[in-house]
Amino acid sequence: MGHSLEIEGDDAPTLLGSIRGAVDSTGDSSQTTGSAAANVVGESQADFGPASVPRRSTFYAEQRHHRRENWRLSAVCLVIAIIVGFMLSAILSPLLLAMVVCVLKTANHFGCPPSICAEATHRIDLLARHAIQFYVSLIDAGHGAGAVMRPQKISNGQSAFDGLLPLIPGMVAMALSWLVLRAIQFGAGMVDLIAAVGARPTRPDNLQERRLANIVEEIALAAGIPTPRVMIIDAVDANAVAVGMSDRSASVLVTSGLVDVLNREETEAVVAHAVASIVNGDLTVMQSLIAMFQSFGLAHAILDLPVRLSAWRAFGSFCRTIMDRHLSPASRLDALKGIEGSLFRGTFPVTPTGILLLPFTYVMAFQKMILMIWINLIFCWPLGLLWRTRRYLADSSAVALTRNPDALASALRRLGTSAGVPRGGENRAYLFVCEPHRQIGDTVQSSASDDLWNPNAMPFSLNPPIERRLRRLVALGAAESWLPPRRTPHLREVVRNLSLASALKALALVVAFIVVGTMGSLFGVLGVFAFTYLTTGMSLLLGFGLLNLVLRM
Amino acid sequence: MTTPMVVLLVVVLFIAWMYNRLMRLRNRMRAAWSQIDVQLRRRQDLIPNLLASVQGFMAHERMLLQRIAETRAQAVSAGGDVARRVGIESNLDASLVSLVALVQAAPDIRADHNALMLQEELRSTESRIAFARQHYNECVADYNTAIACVPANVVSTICAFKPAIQFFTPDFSVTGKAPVPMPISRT
Repeated sequence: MGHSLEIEGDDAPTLLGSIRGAVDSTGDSSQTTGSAAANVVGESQADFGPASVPRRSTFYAEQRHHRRENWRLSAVCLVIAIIVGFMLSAILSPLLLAMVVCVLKTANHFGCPPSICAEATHRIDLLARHAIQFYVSLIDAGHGAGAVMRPQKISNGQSAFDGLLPLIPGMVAMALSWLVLRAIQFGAGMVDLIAAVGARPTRPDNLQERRLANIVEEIALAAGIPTPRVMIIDAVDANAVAVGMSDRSASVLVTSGLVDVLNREETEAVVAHAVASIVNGDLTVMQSLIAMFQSFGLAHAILDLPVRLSAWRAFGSFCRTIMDRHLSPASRLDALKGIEGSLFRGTFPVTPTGILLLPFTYVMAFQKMILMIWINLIFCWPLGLLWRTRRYLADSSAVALTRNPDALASALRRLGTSAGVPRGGENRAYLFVCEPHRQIGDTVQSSASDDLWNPNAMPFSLNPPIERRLRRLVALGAAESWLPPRRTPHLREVVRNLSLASALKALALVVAFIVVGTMGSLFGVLGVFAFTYLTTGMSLLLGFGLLNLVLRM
Repeated sequence: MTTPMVVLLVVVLFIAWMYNRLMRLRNRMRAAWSQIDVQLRRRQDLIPNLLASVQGFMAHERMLLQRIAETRAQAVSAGGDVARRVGIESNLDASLVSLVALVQAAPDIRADHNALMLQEELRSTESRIAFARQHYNECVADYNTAIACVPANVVSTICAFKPAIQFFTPDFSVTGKAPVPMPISRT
């Protein structure tokens, strides 16, 4: 099986040439063969000679570089998450305080010592007054956005701290919910993926599967971790994935297609990639990110409680997940999915309660829109880069484990040509060793399209393209013949072949592109920030207005 | 009064952290060393089965099979004597390599399921030993660097963390004698 995949780096171009010849001679009838061959090599028809050879590096240097890059991108993600959390806590914080006030007043009614209740209520009252004074003076002092830049001009000797202090309860609540959701995610592992792809244990009497189990044990020895569980997915697509939150509970899932197609060294390289991603903690990072999006979803589900019935359902199942210790991991994950999905449902509720609570629903709709904009326009870029860096890191760690960059290059080449992710794993395609590369704009139709944040719905694929990974492997010492031929000519060659008229045209196009692109992105970013500012301001005024109302009741 | 106390506390915590780090590295290294031992034993246990399964096919290679059996017996009897073990194990390496080559060349063995399974086990064991050595050597390199660097070298000197020796396959043609991979300092 897998005869079409038996293409080595050296003879790939000649094979492509012969297939092209065959296509030319037989005409349209074998068009599919031609495109399949083009896919096999992963190149377009144009051939601009051999690619330039990347500078040689060692896997130690490469790992260090990717680790540093990883820290930087994580910091960027953290900053964005804090901004989004700040935005959400603008409405969450005053509502939480209002809830506390309600509880205090009820407690007072039922005989709690009035000194405690009165004192606490007084404190909150003071906080709210300060906050409202601060925001109003902000508007008065600056007539708009400029005031944020000059907080010292605000009257009454107030500082920006007065404005931030009342938001702390909301931020703390968000952080706590993130920790809880993360713990639930970690506790459940990824049983849903294992169940979805239908993985089974290896059979010890089958030679190939026995070999696979041996390989996993060998690589675990090289990495110095306990041997992960090995499972087989019965699927023709050659691929592999590492699942699990720590090196103690990890599993390596390998498709039977991979076992059939790859030889021992290549299988070793792929398994090393999976084990490296376990050791580097890729899954922990990804689950933490997903838990963060879920905590945004939870905040919105709670805020939607007055206007939406499905919010009650999502919230109820979340509460059951926390309370019921005997719930199976799969149903826990289902509950979390419900919370995730609850974010973008009912952005503009036109139910009677929704209309009754009009200013509130209006602000909530803005909150949802701004969150969507932040996630899809701004957050996705550092996030995608972060995951890609982690793939490169796992590649270089795999080379450090096996000391065999050629085997990994050969395996990636073969995996890149095979169809891709096994059925059931489409939603988590980014976790697999080799994700079928998507062009910009392609999205995978997935069954769980109501996920709040489905990485497959991002504008680009989360895994780096095979050609770039091959380039990095060549830099780590793989043979240069793995490099695919160049798809674009060098700039020098293009410029040399241009006539004066077309050169001027090209120059004009480039200048126009730069001007329009810069202006567009500048206005876009400014627009997003202005919109964020507006929404946050509205949320604050509405929230503290409500809090004031509750205090005066 | 409080400032010196705080500084002292920070220094003590820092030293404790450094000591723990060295301890962790040393334990990791020891675990890696014991893994090599485990894998060598696994190979010894495998050899009788292997010999039994190929004996029928390879009557004409009686000498080689006998030599392997003898070397294995020596390795088992050497037990914890590391210096002797290294020499014997490397002889065993060489004999097994020639056996695997012969097995791969024999057509009737290639069709036999049990022999194939055993061959795979043998190959896997060889890789395991190699990977375990690689991991051990990396641990030793990490540990040796850690105890030699400033300022951890102060802690390592006081607490007697001694540098360890990397494991390598002896090459008798060059050195003429087996090196002594006494890897772990007993402190």
